[in-house]
Amino acid sequence: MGALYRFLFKSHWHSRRRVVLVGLLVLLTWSTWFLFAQRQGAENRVLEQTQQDNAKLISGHSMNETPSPQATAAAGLTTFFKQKTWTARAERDGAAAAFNHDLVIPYGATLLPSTDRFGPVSFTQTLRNRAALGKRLVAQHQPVVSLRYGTQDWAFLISFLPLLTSIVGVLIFTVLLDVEEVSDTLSPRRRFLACLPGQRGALMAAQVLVFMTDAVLTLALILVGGGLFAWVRGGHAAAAYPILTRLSGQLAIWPAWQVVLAVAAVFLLGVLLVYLFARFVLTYIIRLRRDWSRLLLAVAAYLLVVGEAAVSLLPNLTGLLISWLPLNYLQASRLFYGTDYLPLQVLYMQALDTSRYGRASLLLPIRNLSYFAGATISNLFPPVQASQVSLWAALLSLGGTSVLILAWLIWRATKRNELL
Amino acid sequence: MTILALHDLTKSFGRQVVLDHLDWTVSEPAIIALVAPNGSGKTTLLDIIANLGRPDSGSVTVLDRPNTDQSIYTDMTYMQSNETLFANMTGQDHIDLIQRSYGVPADRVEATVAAFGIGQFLTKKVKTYSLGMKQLLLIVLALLPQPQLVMLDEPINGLDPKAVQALRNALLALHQAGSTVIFSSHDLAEVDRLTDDVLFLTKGRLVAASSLAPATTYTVVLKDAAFLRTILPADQVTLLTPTKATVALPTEAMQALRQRLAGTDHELLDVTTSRQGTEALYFQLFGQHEIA
Repeated sequence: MGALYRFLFKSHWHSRRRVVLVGLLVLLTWSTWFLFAQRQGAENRVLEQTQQDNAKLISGHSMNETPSPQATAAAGLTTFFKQKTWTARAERDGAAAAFNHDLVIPYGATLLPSTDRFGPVSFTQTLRNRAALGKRLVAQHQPVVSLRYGTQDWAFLISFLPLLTSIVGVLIFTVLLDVEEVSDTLSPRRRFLACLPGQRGALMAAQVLVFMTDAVLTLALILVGGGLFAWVRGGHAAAAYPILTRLSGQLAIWPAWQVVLAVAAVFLLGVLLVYLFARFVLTYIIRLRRDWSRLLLAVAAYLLVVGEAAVSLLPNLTGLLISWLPLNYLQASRLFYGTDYLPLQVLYMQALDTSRYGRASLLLPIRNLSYFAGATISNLFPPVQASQVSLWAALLSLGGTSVLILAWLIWRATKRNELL
Repeated sequence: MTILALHDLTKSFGRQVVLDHLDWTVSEPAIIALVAPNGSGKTTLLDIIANLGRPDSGSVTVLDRPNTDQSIYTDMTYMQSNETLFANMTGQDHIDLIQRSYGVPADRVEATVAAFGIGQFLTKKVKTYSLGMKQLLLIVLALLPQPQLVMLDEPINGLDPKAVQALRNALLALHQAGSTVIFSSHDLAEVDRLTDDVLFLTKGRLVAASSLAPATTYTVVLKDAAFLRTILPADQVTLLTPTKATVALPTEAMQALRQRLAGTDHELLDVTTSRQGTEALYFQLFGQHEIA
């Protein structure tokens, strides 16, 4: 199979179409990064200004005079913000300090008043997460870099990965890489390879290997480009910058480089699954003789994908079985640190809700979250099912389904000597 | 050992039946020419033998194994159209793949490449090749493994006389070494030079040339050429002009026809021999373009 692999790999990268498409993909990603970073930078400037304005407001305002039921919470906040060093500490270890000294006490319900699509967002847990992250930052003597608004180095990659690894990203990535494969499948060229000794199963395996090699190389190109881009912009966040994640219901803090690699690995598994599924459907559409049966298969495949996508996104309809379906894990970064901006916005809006938390709470959110507001996989499912969802479940679901499809295709190609 | 056995093979494209309950067995090494007009199903038949196409019904056995057995490709090669080449790869890339896949010794590669004179353009990408260069590369790729069965789909297309001679020598050598060669071609003169074992694919069936009466095609001139259709089977007469036609007949039958029409209104005014051998049989079987 080695000779076949080398031949196919070389033929792909000698194709001008392939080079142009991959080049376009990389350029598109880099361009998106630029726009992304510009926007993030602008938002950060606004937030910083807001923070400074509120600091001035608080320092000149006696919270003790506030006649409201929020007195206890407000007093705690006031104590916290009245510390002259709060701004610097907030930049460094604000959340940790606040929690260590019980300076921030969420008032009222433990859940944010709004829920995201997947269920309630825990305010206290969100803040505890921040505290844990703050402790780690203090221990590592690292400055806080907001990941939500990260524009530099690893923080930037962590910020951007949700976009790249969204379902749309997976589809664009797969389709652009798959053009050459589809072209091979429909081209007479494959008939030449199909008549080599003992090669039809090997041909299938080699094509998958070549596709995955292409995918890894392209993704590496994108990530290295992103790292360089952020570095040029004066990045300072280290590769070991702690990222707060929740996997299998457990809080975990991973170095940023590990998260990038893990997200990339799950992303590649998702891409593999999409590729194999498309190959499977395409194979049978080609092999079926009657137009109506081809149409039926295409519609069935479409319904399967859309149906599963729809069901997996619906709240409170997720059962134990559906947590094992692979489409749940196609958005790799959601698995690690969430991709949904909604909880973040909710927290931001909640902070603006001066009637409940006081104006001072404006200073807490967003800027130093360092993760996606706790919108991790644990928020994607009701609590009772959260234990079903883990990195291993994702790997098993994505990998297992891929292996099954691949095994079926190779078996048919080998045992039945079919040209798939 | 049965080299090739087709049993009750049927294949249709819509209403067009290209293979009609076809049976064919090759038991001894041979050079076999497959002859038929364009679109008659030669390539379809070769594809089905190589398991690149599926028949509607029937079975194929290659070298005592069903053609669904992957191992047949170890002992069989199939030269297909030049569209099967990878345009962005060089000829050497293709040869390397074949060499590694079959374990072809380097000296045989060198000798075959030299015999067909393709060494000078192997480092160029296939997309820069002419039709003849592509054909030569495909032929070399099919012959390199020296398999027991070689199938060549129209290998002579686009070849210059020198290359045709090299191909002829290579196929004869392969046959002498015990291999079977099946090739399709429209170059009937070359077919005659290579083999007596000619099969016509007509109406979905294979007809051996040896089973047909030896025929010659004559071009005849008479007052009303259409009259010939009333006294001869229609597939033996092709009208060229209102006064000219070709007839495919054995020599004795032609003599009898001339005598029969002599002195009548339909006397043959001129008779010339136009074709003999496989070409004559071809036109006897398939006719030629008639006048409107």
